[in-house]
Formats: sequence, structure tokens, C-alpha cells
Amino acid sequence: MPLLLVKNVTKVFGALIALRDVSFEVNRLEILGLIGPNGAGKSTLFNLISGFHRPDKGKILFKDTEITGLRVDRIAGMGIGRIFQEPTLFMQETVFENVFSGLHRHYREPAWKAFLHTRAANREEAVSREKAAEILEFMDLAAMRDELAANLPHGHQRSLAIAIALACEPELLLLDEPVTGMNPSETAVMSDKIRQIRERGITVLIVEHDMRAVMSLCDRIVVLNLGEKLVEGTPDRIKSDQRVIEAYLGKQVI
Amino acid sequence: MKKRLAFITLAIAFMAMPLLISCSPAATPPAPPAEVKTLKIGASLPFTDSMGIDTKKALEMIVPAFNQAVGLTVKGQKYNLDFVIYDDKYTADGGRAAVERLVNEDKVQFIVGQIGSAPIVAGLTVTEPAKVLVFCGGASDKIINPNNKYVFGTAVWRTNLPPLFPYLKQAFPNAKTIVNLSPDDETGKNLARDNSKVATAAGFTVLDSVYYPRPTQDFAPFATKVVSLNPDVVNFPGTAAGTSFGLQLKALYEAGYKGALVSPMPPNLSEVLSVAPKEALEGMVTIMPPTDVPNPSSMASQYQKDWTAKYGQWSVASLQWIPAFYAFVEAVKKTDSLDPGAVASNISANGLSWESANGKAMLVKRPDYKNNRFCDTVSSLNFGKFTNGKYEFLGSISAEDLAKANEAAFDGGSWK
Amino acid sequence: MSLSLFVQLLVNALTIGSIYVLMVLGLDIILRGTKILNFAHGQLYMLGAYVMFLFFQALHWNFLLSLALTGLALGLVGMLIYLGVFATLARRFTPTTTFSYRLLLSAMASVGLMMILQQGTLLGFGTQERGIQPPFPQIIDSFGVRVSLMRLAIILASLVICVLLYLLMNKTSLGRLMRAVSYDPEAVTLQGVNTFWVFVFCFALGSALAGLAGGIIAPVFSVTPAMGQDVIFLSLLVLLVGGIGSYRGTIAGGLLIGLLLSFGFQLLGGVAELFVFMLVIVILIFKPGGMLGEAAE
Ligand SMILES: Nc1ncnc2c1ncn2[C@@H]1O[C@H](COP(=O)(O)OP(=O)(O)OP(=O)(O)O)[C@@H](O)[C@H]1O
Ligand SMILES: [Mg+2]
Repeated sequence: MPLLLVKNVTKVFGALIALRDVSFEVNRLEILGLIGPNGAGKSTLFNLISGFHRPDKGKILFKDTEITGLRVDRIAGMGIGRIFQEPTLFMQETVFENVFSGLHRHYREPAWKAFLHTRAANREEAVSREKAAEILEFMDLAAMRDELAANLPHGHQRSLAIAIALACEPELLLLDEPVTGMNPSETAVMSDKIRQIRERGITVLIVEHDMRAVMSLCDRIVVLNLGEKLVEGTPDRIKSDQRVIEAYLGKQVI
Repeated sequence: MKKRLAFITLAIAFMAMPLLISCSPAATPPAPPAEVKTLKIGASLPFTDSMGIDTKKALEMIVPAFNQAVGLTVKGQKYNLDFVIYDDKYTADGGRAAVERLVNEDKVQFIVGQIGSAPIVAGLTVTEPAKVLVFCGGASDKIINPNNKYVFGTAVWRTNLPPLFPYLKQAFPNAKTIVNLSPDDETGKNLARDNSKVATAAGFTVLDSVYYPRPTQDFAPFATKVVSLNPDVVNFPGTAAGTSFGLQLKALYEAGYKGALVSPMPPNLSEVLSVAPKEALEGMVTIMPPTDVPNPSSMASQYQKDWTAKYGQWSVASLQWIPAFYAFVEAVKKTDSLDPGAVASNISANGLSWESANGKAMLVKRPDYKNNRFCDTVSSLNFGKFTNGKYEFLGSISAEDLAKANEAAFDGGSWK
Repeated sequence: MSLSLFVQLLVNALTIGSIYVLMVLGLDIILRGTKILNFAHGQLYMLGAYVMFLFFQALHWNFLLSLALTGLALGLVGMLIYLGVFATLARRFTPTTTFSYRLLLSAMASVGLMMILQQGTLLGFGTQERGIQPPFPQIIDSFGVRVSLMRLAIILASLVICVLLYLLMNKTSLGRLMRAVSYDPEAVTLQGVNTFWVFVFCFALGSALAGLAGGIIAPVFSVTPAMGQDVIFLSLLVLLVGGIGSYRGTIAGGLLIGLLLSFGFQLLGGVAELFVFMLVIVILIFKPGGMLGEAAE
């Protein structure tokens, strides 16, 4: 049983068919890459999975439950985390607060209880604090826990975005271009982090233009082109596929 | 995104400003009666102001009673009067729009009982060319401009001043200096100027006039300004009679003002006292309502009785603007014609007198404005001083004497 | 300028200023939380005054109780307005509806709402002007300085409301959630929170602040259907001058307008108001994001 099943999904924006009859699955604990030239429909697919858009046709199933058309927060609550291309942080809060608030919201204890400092709420808060500290440690952000998010270097802001997503304890994490714009050593560190995330028991679906990183990181790869699925398979197979080379011809060297 | 939010907010805010300014209550015309012949009369009143509302209520009370009792008979034909009243918002724009509607849509030939100078003056640009007869309140001297032929001022606000200041002197013999507190509009400016002139003639020194925008609610800055000028008397030319007056008195009281007060227009006590403590009114010399004098006229007591029976809470302000109605009725009866031109030329040349709650009222000429048509009004008036929460009667003046006092105060010649 | 005059002007400035602070904090919470520029905010202020009249003047309830209930009542009104008008409108938006279009449409809806509330009040309560007898009519008169106790009470009450608001926004998870939602609602949704109820709460809280402003000033001013119109104009200017999204800016802006109107009138006379508008234009030219707003950076 796959963790996520995308079944014959079509999405139309006006006259433009952004996705046409796309199907694939994500298995538990794999790192699946989603690649394709600009405008192929990768971000649109992420928007469909996380519930920002509704597919016009087709279904999406998560853990055998249909999630097509559910509200974004319901889907997030079911265990799908997402990182945008541009990190969405609360810039005027500290690194720690960013993660702590995420945890807090995840547990959703009623606000009035926290306001009254009931014992249960206090205990919960202590647990959240510990957890936030652990996640920051894991993402190598422990040293900057009291910095304002706005003051972090770009790479660390991305780590923080991932830390916030981890605070919601997802089973599936959608990463949109996590290493784009990073130098090779930063890329290596981030790739390593993504592997460690998988070791925490989280399945990863990743969109990335950096082919070297994708090829080394992913177990399997799905290639989109002009809204349609071109091919899917292991990195070695994708690298040698004639259609993929054509689609990317003149754009990037694989 | 944040920058965009700021810019779009700014843009929308400026775009919507005109809408904000024009958002005001609309008019509800009263139901038409079902009698033999009906004569439509127009009126425009500010529904944004308590005196407009009270005047509307007054018309809705006295006109049906008049129809039922005597009615208007012209050349043997009896007419029932039907008032069409629109909201003029106390603004020039609102007044012009209301009058245009009355003249062009409702085809009225008589407009009776307007209040505010700004709407009246704006309405004249419509009524004069259309030869529509207007009997109105309002203090603006543009109403008595010699170029106008069809408008008659039936309020005493241009003629009540000369006796006021002698009574002030009588009540406060040591008072010498005055500061005016007036609304920053046509009515306020004209009245502040006239008041200064008459007060100076009566031996007072006017230190300054402080103007406030008419919708003001916070009078503290104006009151502090007035108090810092340290006058013996504060005068309120052109102030609305209701809570606005009360807020001004309260602000003066809170700012520590202890001197005398004088107002050409009597306050609407129930509204004034709903916002101001009664100490704030102490010592105010003003025109005393005809219902409160030692021996009120039968018309005044009857009116008060009817009003209280119909509406409960008594409003003295409701009495102030209805003389226009009685003047109109007398004018039509005297001419025995419904042709506005004939009525206008008749009373312009021969004058008119009618009975008001204050006693006798009559039209006078305004030679000081080079207007030799009977166009303005004097009536008998009572003066009083507010003491311990009640009016204390100071004295009264007849219509004839009022005309004489005015002739003496404003040079130019005979008012008769 | 004598000490007594100075103190009086200062107290007046702070009274009016604190009303604008409450108004603009409400406008700002609504604008940032729900992305609605609420032109009907002045009418909520007016309703606050009427509700206060009902509780305190007509029913003779305790002043503080009446004020608290006025806040609650207007919060409820705000909630119903949001559910009835703006949520319905938002349902018609698609993911492709642009941000500016949403802002424009909801602003237009609020203008319609403004007229409805205005007319409704006229129909319901009539045009009669009402006054509320101040619960503290005393004048403090010492060392030649005269100060109205009611005005001091208003300043104090506004201060308390601001402190409570600060605690709510900064010390509770609900407040943190509201700030997060106003910063980036999508990111919050991705954390599994149904932001809809946060929007509702933001609108209700903003409305409650407008109601408190109207209710608290009612014993000093009179209660009229037109009172909302006069106050929204300057409130919008304070919002722009103080800067959207800055509490310090809003408070500074509100107090600045109070000071300008109070002292400006004393020193310059009637042109003071003109001066305020000129200052607003100058500030917006050089700092389009307002003095301390988020867009200022
Ligand atoms: N909200 C929208 N409205 C209309 N068209 C859209 C919308 N979102 C995406 N599109 C269009 O759909 C197509 C697919 O876009 P998408 O962003 O999914 O591509 P992508 O694969 O993520 O590209 P990139 O690698 O550049 O990020 C593009 O042609 C884009 O213009
Ligand atoms: Mg993309």
C-alpha cells in the first residue's frame, strides 16, 4: 500500500492545461524526486496534494483516505507537511518561537487554557519546549535559537522552514527546491539532512532542479513535461532515457 | 505583500472618501391625504439634526389639524395641504438637490419651513428662476438680498439682536467683553458678524470669534481657546439648539469658565441637559420660549399641550420654525390666490402680519440691505435668564418696538 | 502658556488620542488579520455608543459592566458581520483571485455595510440626539489646574484596554496565532490550523475595540447616528500615518493626532485641521508605509 496515491489527476487554469492525467505513487519511507522543465506543473501538483487547489479530474489518496478537496489545514493535520520555494517564516519572531508556535498549534490545546495556565497546559508547554529544542538541535539551529528569523542567512532560513514543518510531525514532507541556489558544500549538507529526515520515519517528495543532488538523493524519480508524466524510475534509468534528454535538451546537462 | 497592502489601502481610502462624506439619511415623504382638492407644499429639512426632525414632527402635527379645522380656502375652493418633505442634510448640496426634486418632480409652487442657511441659499438658485414662493427660517442675509423676489424670511434671527444686549447689560451690569463661539459655516459666520456689530453698538467689546466645524463633538479645544481669551461673556451665534449646544456649554464649564452666557437662540433644554450639567447653563441670557413666560399666549399653551399629547417629550425647539407655515397661510388668504407671483408681489408691496406663539409677527423691509420689499420678519419676543435650572423672566418687546430697535441699530431708513 | 492651560490641552489631547488609538488598533487588527479595510468601523463605534446608552443610561447598569458588555456585544456584532458578509464574499473568491481584487471587493462591501448600519440605526433609534450622563462628572480643581475626572477615566480605561490587548497578542497562543495569521495565513494553514475561525476572531476583536471606543467616549460626546462618519475619516488617516501593522506606530499616530488637534487649535486656530491633513500627506510622501509600519522597512 503506497503512502500517497495520485490517480489520473488533471488541473486546468483557464485555457492552460497545467496537469493532464497524471498518476504516480509515493511509497513509505522513500525519497521520491519530481523533476521537469520550467512550467511542467510541479508546483501545481504540490498545490493539489496540499489542498491549495482542487484537481479538476482525478483523485489523491493519503494512507488510503481520499484527500481530494479537503481543506488545507485538514490535509496538514493528517500528516502532510510542505515547504514552499520561498521559506515562509514569521520573521519578527525568534527561531525558537517559530518552531515552538508550530508545535503548539499542532497540539491545538484551547487558548483559554493556556491563558489560565492550567496544569495540563503547563505540562504540555514544557513538553513542547523540549521538543522544539530537539528539532532545532536536529536541524543544526540550536546555536541560533534566540536570533530573529529575519536575521538568519538564507540557508539557515530554509533549515528553519523545515524545522517548522517537522514540528507538525508529518508523515510525508513536500520539499519545493530545497537546494536551489546553494553551493556544492551547502547542497551536500542539506542532502544529508534530507536523508536523516527519512531516517526519522518521514517520507519525502522533492521537487528540485539541481540534477546532481536529485540523482544522488532520490530512490525513484517522476519526470513531468508540459503537464504530463513522461516517465518514472530509478535515477540510473532516468539519466539514460531518451525522452528525458529531449525534454531537457539545451536547457541543462544531465 | 506588506508594501502592497499599504499602497492599496491608501488608494482605496482616497477613492472612498466622497462616499463617506455623502453617506447620510434619506427622506420619507408623508402619506398623501385623500380629500377633495389637495395642494402640495414642499419643505426641505435636515433630518441629521434634531431641530429638523422636530420641525418635521411639528408640521406633521399642525398641518393635518389645520386641514381638519379650517383648511385653506381660495376663491371659494377648499384645499387640503399636503407637505412633501425631503432631507437637505443641512448642506448646500443637499438643499439644492431637495429643492430641485420638489420643484421639478413634485411640481410644488410653495416651499415652506426650511431651516438652515446653506441649504436655503443653495435652493434659491432653483426657486427664484422657477418663480417658486419660499417662506423660510435661516439666518443668512443672502435670503434678504434685493435681487430675490420670491423668498421671505420668517425667522427672527436677523432681527432679534438689538434688544438682546440691553437685557444682557441688565442681567450682568459689569460685563464688558464678549467672545463668539460659532459654527464654521454660512449661518455661523453671518451671525457672528451681526452679533459683533450689535454688541459693539450696545457698548460691549468683542474680543474674537472662535469657529468650530458643525459636526464637532469634542469642544474641549474650542472651549479652552475661549477661556484663554478671558471674556466676561460668551455668545453662541448660530449654534444648533440641541446636544451640540450642550456639549459646548459642558466644555466651557469643564474648562473652568465662570462668566456670563448669552445666546440669540434658546437652547433645546431636554437635549442640552442630557449632555451638560445644569450648572453649565447658569446665567445664560437668551430669548425665552413663549411657553415659559409668566402669561403664555393661548396659541403657545395649546401647541405645547397638543405636542405633549402626540409625542410625549416636549420640544421647545419645534416651535421656532413653524411661523413660516402661518405666514404662508395668511399670505395666500390675504391675496386670495394660489399664483405664487401674485402672492409674492402682494405681500412684498403691502406687508403681512400673522399670529405666532410669541404673539404678533409681521414682515418688514430691509433698507439697510437696499431691499425695499417686505421680506424679513419681526415678532414680539420674550427674554429670560437661566437661573437654578429654570428661566427667570427679564422682559419682553413687541413686534413694533423690535422693528424700531432694529431701525436704530442698522442704519438705512424705515423698516415699514 | 500657563500650566493650567497646558494640562487641560494635554488631557484633551490624550482623551481624543486614546479614542483614535482604540479605533485604529481595531482597524489594523481587522486589516492585517482578515485583509479587509473596514469602512464600517465608524458605524461599529457608533453602535458601541448606542449599546452603552442602552446598558448604562437606559438600564442603569454599572459603568464598567456596561462597558465590558458593550465590548462583548460589538464583538458579537462583528462576528455576525464577518460570517454574514465577508465570509460569504470570500467564498466567491477562487485561488486565482488576485490579492488587490480581494482587498478592493471587501472594502467595497464594507462601504455598503457602512450605509446599511447607518440607515439601520436611523430607522431603529431615530435621529434624536442622546446624551449619557457621565458616571464621573466631577472636575478635579487643584493648584489652578482643572481637569475633568471623566476624561482621566477615559485615558485610564483606554490604557487598560491597550495593556490587555498587548497581553493577548503577545503572551497567549491565541495572540501568537493571530499575529502568525496576519503575517502569513497560508503558512499557518500548513501547520494544520483552520484559519477561518482566526479570521472571525480578528474581525470580532477589531469590532469590539471600535465598540469600546464608542462606548467609552459616549459620556463625553453625544450619541448620534452621524458620529461614526466623523471619526472614520481621521482613523483611516491615523492608520496610514502610524503605519499598518505597527502597534507603536498606531499609538504614536493616535496620540499625535490628538496633540495636533488640541494644541494646534489653541496655537493656530481653525487651520489646525488643515495642518493635520498636510502633515499626513508629507508623511505619506516620505514614508509611504507610515511612520513605523511594516512597509516602512
Ligand atoms: N494559479 C495559476 N493560475 C494560472 N496559471 C497557473 C497558475 N499556477 C500555475 N499556472 C501555470 O501552470 C503551469 C505550470 O506551472 P507550475 O508552477 O506548476 O510549474 P513548475 O513545474 O513548478 O515550474 P518551475 O520549475 O518554474 O517552478 C505554468 O504554465 C503556469 O503558468
Ligand atoms: Mg515551481
